[in-house]
Amino acid sequence: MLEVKGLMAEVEGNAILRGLDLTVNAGEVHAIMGPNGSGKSTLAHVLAGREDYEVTGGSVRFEGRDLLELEADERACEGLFLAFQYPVAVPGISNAYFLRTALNAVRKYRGEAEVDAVDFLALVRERMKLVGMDEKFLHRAVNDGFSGGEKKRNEILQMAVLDPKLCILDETDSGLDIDALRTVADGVNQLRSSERGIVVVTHYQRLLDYIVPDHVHVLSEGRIVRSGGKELAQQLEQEGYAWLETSASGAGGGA
Amino acid sequence: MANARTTRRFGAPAPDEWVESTRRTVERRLAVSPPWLASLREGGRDRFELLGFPTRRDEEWRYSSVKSIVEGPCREPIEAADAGVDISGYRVPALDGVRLVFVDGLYREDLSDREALAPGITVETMTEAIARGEAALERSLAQAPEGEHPFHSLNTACFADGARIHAAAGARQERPIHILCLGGVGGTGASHVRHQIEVETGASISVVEEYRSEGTTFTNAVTQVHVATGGSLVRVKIAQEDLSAHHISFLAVRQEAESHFHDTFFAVGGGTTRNEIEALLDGEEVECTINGLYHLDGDRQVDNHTLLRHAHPNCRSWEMYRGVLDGRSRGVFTGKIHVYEDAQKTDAKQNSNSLLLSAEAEADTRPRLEIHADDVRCTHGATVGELDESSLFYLRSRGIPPVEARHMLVHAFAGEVLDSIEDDLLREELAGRLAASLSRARAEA
Ligand SMILES: Nc1ncnc2c1ncn2[C@@H]1O[C@H](COP(=O)(O)OP(=O)(O)OP(=O)(O)O)[C@@H](O)[C@H]1O
Ligand SMILES: [Mg+2]
Repeated sequence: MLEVKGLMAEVEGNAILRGLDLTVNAGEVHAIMGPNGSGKSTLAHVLAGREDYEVTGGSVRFEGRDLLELEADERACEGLFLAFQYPVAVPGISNAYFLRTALNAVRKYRGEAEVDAVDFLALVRERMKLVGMDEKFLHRAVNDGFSGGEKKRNEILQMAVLDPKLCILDETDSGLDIDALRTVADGVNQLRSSERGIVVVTHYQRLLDYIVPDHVHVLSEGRIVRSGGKELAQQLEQEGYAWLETSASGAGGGA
Repeated sequence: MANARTTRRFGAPAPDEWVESTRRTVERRLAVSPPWLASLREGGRDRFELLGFPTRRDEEWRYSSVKSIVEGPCREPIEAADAGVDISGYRVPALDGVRLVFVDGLYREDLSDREALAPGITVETMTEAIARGEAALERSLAQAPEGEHPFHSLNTACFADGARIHAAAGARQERPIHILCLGGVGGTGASHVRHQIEVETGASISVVEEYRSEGTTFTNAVTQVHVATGGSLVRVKIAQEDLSAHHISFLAVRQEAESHFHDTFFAVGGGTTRNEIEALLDGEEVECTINGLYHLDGDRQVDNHTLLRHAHPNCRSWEMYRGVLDGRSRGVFTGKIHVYEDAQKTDAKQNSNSLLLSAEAEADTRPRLEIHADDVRCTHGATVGELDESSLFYLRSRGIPPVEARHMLVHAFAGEVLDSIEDDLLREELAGRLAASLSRARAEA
């Protein structure tokens, strides 16, 4: 589904990703862990098509297509979804209007009929239950004045409405209280399917207790330096990243 | 409106062609004016000749180019009383009710509709009111604003007609009364219109003043508003003129105690537009809202001048002007708030925000607070910004194409002004016109 090879990217002249390899197949859940500043969010943004990152090398194929050739909105329409580490507030646009516009944009791209206000409301109500969100959030401006945890839930709601093929969750667990973590994780688990790939970026084992990954990767200085099964996450939880300094050129990426 | 007349002249003397054509127009008007009006018109003509035209050296006109009016082809009023015109395109559900139509400044009974008037509401033309010889009319038409300029004088000298709306004490009209002024129908030239809206004690009405035109025209509109104690007026002014048209308008408002006035200036299109508003809060507990929303592209400009005079205690005013500027356009907002010595507990809030959609667009804001009372709350804020890149990326990351994402963010910016219009139909209508204007500008860019 997703095949990243030797990806290199820089921002304002600083090399952040330095030859990153990652393969995600349909039906798999991958966890990416790694120290602060190692490039996890950069990877997520580069995949989502943010223009202030310059790709200087490597390739990314998504469902057989060259992902880097596509605009951010085309990537979303092709089925890539990024749940932001820091969701953006958009004052003046209601959540409902935003979600419906996005859903219809994606449907239009896929050659499907637009959903009308009534059908949309039915759909969004059902998905809100899935992520434990109150309906009042539909009428509030997108993420405007939302608490940290409310923003994260809103990301998962968008994901549940847009029904993407590949979901990248960038630290969706941070800022969530214990109950919310559980609800959000349940929501994500319900979206797990043999057709969908999921990449969760996280610092904590706790999320992975709920969303059990098939593969765990450690990202350091712009490269995947170690990959393993779910036990790797437990090991990291105990040992931290100190070992990175001694084995900086450790095992390469790939699942 | 004060009557203390200055004799300060403007930078450029009125050119001979203007003097001659104005004299000719006034001669024609005199033939059909009662003596009191004839002398007002002659006074206007003389003032015009005395004042001359402003240039960029005149402080209040630094950002308004009237050169294209002074040197352009729109001196003579167009007098095509029965020009063929199809107004079906201007009839929308939001404005389907009482309608007064003026074509090139002349009233058109055949296109108007005065059927659906609520009890106590009178809608007539200025010509009809003049013929009735109402005493109050003479006084009100004679008033001149504090900062009189030649376009006021020209208006007094040359106006052919206009709407006169009167709401008797306690009267209410649910749907807006629509004044539709079409310019450039009978050719290239000027139209001077004069409207008056009078809302008596406790009455409540809304009026939409709309300006449309075809081709190069010059519209010179003066509107006088009086809201008596406890009265309420909602006014929406739509300036949607031809992209080569010139539009100069002046709105004079006087509000008595406990009255409400809510004004929205909405402009899409037009070549050069000057929107001038003077409001006198002439009693206690007055509420006055003066909002504006405009979208410009190409090398168009809108120059807004507002003056709020807080003359009594315990009044509140809100001002919010928002400009969406594309191409090499320019938006100007000069907002004066004058708080008199007596006007304690004044609460005045002024905001001017501009959204620049291109690197060459320009916005200027000049807030001017003149405060003579000590226990007041007056705030003003101004922002000039571009579309937020992270918001844009966020919308696009959800599949929304760039053009639509930009539209959404522009609407979000404009939203606060539109949201303050209570009438759902009218608000939707204006949102639609803004969208159409944005699409047109993008398509032409
Ligand atoms: N605009 C920028 N200019 C310079 N450096 C930048 C810029 N944006 C990101 N970086 C740097 O890139 C590096 C990677 O950042 P990134 O956000 O990808 O880290 P991360 O792995 O997601 O960290 P965290 O775990 O804290 O979220 C950091 O050192 C960061 O400072
Ligand atoms: Mg990060």
